[in-house]
Amino acid sequence: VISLDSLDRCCHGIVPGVIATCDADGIPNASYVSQLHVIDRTHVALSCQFFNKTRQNLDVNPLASVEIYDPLTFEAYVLRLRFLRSETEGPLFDTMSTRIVAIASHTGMAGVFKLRSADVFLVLDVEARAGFIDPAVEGERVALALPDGPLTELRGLQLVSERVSRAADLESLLSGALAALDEVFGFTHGMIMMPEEEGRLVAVASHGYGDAAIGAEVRIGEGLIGTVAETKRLVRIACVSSELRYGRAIREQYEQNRTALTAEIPLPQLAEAESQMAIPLLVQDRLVGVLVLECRHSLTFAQWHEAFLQVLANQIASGIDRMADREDLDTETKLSFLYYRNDDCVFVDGEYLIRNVPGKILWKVLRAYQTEGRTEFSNRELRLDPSLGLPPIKDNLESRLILLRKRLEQKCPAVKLVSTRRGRFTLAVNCGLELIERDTA
Amino acid sequence: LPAYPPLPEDLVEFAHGGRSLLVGTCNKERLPDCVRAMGVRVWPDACRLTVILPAATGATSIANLRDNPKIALTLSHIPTHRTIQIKGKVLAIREGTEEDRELAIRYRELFIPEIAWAGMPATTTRRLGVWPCFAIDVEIDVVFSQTPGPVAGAKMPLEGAS
Repeated sequence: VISLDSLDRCCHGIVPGVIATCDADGIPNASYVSQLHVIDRTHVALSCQFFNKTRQNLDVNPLASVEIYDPLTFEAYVLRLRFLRSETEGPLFDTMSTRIVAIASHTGMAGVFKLRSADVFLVLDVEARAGFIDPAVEGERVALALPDGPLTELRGLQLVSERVSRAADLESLLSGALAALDEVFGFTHGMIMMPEEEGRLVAVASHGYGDAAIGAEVRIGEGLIGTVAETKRLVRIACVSSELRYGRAIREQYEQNRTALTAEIPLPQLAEAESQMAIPLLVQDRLVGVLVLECRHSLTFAQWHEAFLQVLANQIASGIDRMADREDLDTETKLSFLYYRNDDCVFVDGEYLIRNVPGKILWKVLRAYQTEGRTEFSNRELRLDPSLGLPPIKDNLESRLILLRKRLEQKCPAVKLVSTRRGRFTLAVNCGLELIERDTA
Repeated sequence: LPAYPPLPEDLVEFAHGGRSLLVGTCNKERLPDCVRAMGVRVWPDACRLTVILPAATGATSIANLRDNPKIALTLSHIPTHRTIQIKGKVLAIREGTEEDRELAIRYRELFIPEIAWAGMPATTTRRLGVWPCFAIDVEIDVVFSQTPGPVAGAKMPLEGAS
C-alpha cells in the first residue's frame, strides 16, 4: 500500500498532475490539477479556481481519477477519488488560498485569480502506474532529494535556539538565525523583513545576497512576502517559474478580455529562485516580521520543513520581541545631506539614502551634531522625542537603527552609528557635513 | 461523413508538436481514468485523428473505451499553458503498428524540451514507455479551449463552422 505521505514531492505541481472526471452521459473530461493538498492519510483536496467542467462533472458524478508524477524520477501514481464536499472558508481553504493569492498578487491579478473552493475527496485507492517509465539504466544519474530526518531537525533546532538565545542584539540574532539555517539545511539565501509604517516591510537582515537586500521593501498584501505578512500564513512554492507561467497564462487570457490588471510585482531577490518559502514571524497574533527563504533548486523545501521552520520562526519572533523591549544598540570629504520634510526622505550627495522614521532619526542626530557638537545619543531620548513619531510600545526602534546603520554603511561609510553600551550610540563623522532642509522635492 | 468541421491548420500543427497529451475515459459505471498519451496523428481530413496509448499504462483506458467509446484528449503547450481539449467518438482500437511505434518515439523526442520546462532531464523523459502500444482512431466531436483563465471551457471555432 502506498501512503500519501510518501508522495509529498508529487503534490507540488512541478510536473502538474492530471484529473479525469465524467458527466452524467459518460462523456469524460481530462484536465490539469492546479494544487493537490494532502489533508490526512485518506483525504486530499484539489483547488478550484474556475467553475470548469471538472467541477460541474463532480456535482453529477463524484468519481475522479488523478495521476501525479514524481518530479525527480518521473514515476506516475494513480489516485482513485470520491468527491465529498467543497469548502469555501476555514483553515483548509485559507491554507490553499494563500499560495494562489501570492501567485495572483505576483502576476498582478490580486482579486481576479483566486481560489473559489477547496474540493475535498476521499482517497479510495493509490497505486503506482506500472510501466509508465522504464528503470534507469546503470550509470544514469538520477537527481535525489535533499536528505532529511530527525538528526537534521534536532541539530537545526539546537543551533538556531543557541544563536537566538545568545544574541546580544537584534542584528546578531537575525544574522545568526539566517546563518544557522544555511549551515544546517543549506538554505543559502534568506532575509528577514520587518514591518515599517505605511504598510511596508523592510529587509533588515539578509544572508547570501550580499548587502543588496538590506533596505529592500515590499508592500503588505503584495506578492509572496506581502501576502504572507497580510494573511499571517506560511507559503511554500516548490516551482516558482512554473507557478508564475501559470499565473501569466491566466493574466494573458484576462488581458485578451480587456480586463484591467495591475503591474506584476517583482520577485524578492534571487532572480532565478525555483523554491521560495515565506514564514510569518508572529508573537501571539502580532506580526513582527517575515522570514523569507529562496533557493535556485525546486524541492529544496520539503513538507517537514514547514512545521519545523514554524517552530524556529516562533523562536526568532520571540527573540525579536524580546529585543524590542530592551534598551540596546547601535551607532562615522564633505557630504551633503538633503532632507525633505514632506516625506522625511534623506538624500546624500544627490543619492537616496533613507526615509520615514529612520530618516527622521538620522536628521535629528546630524542636526544635533552640527549645531551642538553632540556625538552621544540614547535610545531613550529618541523614544521620548514626539517629532519622530515612534509608537509608545513595540516601536521597533532597534530594527530601524539597524536599517539606518546598514544604509549608512552602504551609501556613506564616513558617517557611522556606533553602538557604545546598552541603549546608547555614538555618531562618528569622518568628514565635513552640509545639511540642507527642504519642504518638498 | 464526419459531423464536425475539420480542425483548422494551426490546431493540426499544435497537435503534431510535442504537446503534453492526456487521455480521459470512463466505463459504463462512470469510473474515469486519465493517462498520458504518446503521440497524435491528425488524419488528412482533419476531422479524425489517431492517438497512441502505451499498452503498459493504457489497459484501464482501453477497457473503458471498449465499454464506452467516448474519449477526451487534452493537448497542452507546457511553457505557455495554451491548452485545448478534443472530445470524440472512438472509431477503432488497434494494436500499434511499426508506423505507430515510430510516431510514439518521434513524439517522445518532441516532448523532451517541453517537459524540460518542469525540470525533467532528457535522459529521464527518454525512458517513458511507448511500446507496445495501442492506436485509437477517433472522430472529433468538438474542441474546447482549456487555457487557464476566463475563457477556459469555451467551444473553439473550427474551420467551416457557422
